[in-house]
Amino acid sequence: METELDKTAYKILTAGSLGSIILFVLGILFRMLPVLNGQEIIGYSVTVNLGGREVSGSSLLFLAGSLILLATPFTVAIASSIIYLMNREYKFAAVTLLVALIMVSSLILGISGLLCPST
Amino acid sequence: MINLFLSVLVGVISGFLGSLIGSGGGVFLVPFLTLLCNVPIHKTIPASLMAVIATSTSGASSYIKQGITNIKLAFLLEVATTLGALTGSVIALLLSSWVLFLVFSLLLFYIAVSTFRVRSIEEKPIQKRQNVKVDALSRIFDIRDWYYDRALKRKVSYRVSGMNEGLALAFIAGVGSGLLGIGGGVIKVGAMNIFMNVPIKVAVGTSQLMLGVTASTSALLYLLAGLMDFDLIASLATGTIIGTFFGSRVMNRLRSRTIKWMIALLLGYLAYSMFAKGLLLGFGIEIPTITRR
Repeated sequence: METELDKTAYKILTAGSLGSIILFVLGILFRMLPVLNGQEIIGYSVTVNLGGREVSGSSLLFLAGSLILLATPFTVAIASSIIYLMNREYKFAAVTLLVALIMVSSLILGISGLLCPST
Repeated sequence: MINLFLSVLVGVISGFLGSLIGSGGGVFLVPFLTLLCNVPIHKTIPASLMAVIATSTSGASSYIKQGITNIKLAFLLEVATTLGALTGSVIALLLSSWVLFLVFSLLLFYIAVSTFRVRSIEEKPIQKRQNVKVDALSRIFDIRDWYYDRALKRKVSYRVSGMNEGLALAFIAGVGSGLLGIGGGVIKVGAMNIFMNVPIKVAVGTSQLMLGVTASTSALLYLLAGLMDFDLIASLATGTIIGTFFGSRVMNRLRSRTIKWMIALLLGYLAYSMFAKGLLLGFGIEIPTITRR
């Protein structure tokens, strides 16, 4: 790896990839435990109230892993933008910022609730 | 809801088969889940996108470590690709399931035919174009870089050109990704290598980084539309990573043309089945298939 950007992007991608996969595997193991032990489902024994709904421990791990996975590319875009700014490479800082803005616009479009899935 | 272990298995098989033809596995995930497991296509697409992000983040970090990825080029093309992904996912949310089945079947037919053609590409490596035309946009951004090619045992320098064609194709790849839940890497790699004078290894590494950015743009929209099944995502992502890991190692040893032909035939059959399901859902027309409805 040659540049500061390469190193930073590598660290973010590795952390995001490993973090999410560890959470996914842990969640799957939670579900597998009752099968292995022949006991009550441990994954479901840990529940959290989310918006009035009881959510199992494994489901929470899946949710956290998915959110980490979703955030990883966005974090790379933001980190790249900051590093380009620090290096005074303004053209590329603008480009990466634009990509991050398009990603945010997707979020805003989703939050607005304008789109309802067709069946 | 689909069984957790069955979806891990679907992910492993899709990742394995996908890596044999150089894709992320999305082209197998969507048909397997919709045809064999009866998961609604609007839920399958975001799950497939998340599997694409998972394989992309793990693959991209490896390419960056090797110094192959061109991050500047990746984000420049991502301006078009993320716009395309946003467009594609909005269209997908507005379209009926049967239309998505028909569009996906067309894509599968195309990939099946392309898989037959991969053989000749392997036998005849893509040549570096001579007298490359540097357009205005390429001059403005002026991306020049190099990488060390371990096979050639030398530094390979290149200057990015053909930005207009590259951006146009990147947009199309983005629409395909958002609409159908695939990575679109085949289009991106082709665009970079054929039109932008980017060496094939750099194109593959750069495309890996782009896949995650593109897929997460679409996936965010699906998340907020309430179409994400996190159990399905976790098992598919885990399975796809495992499948891709083994598939990429087997692929390097495979020389047999038979495997590629078998995969092309499988893709052809999946395309036919997706077409049949689209016809059934849209018009009530039933044509014979061996898969469950």
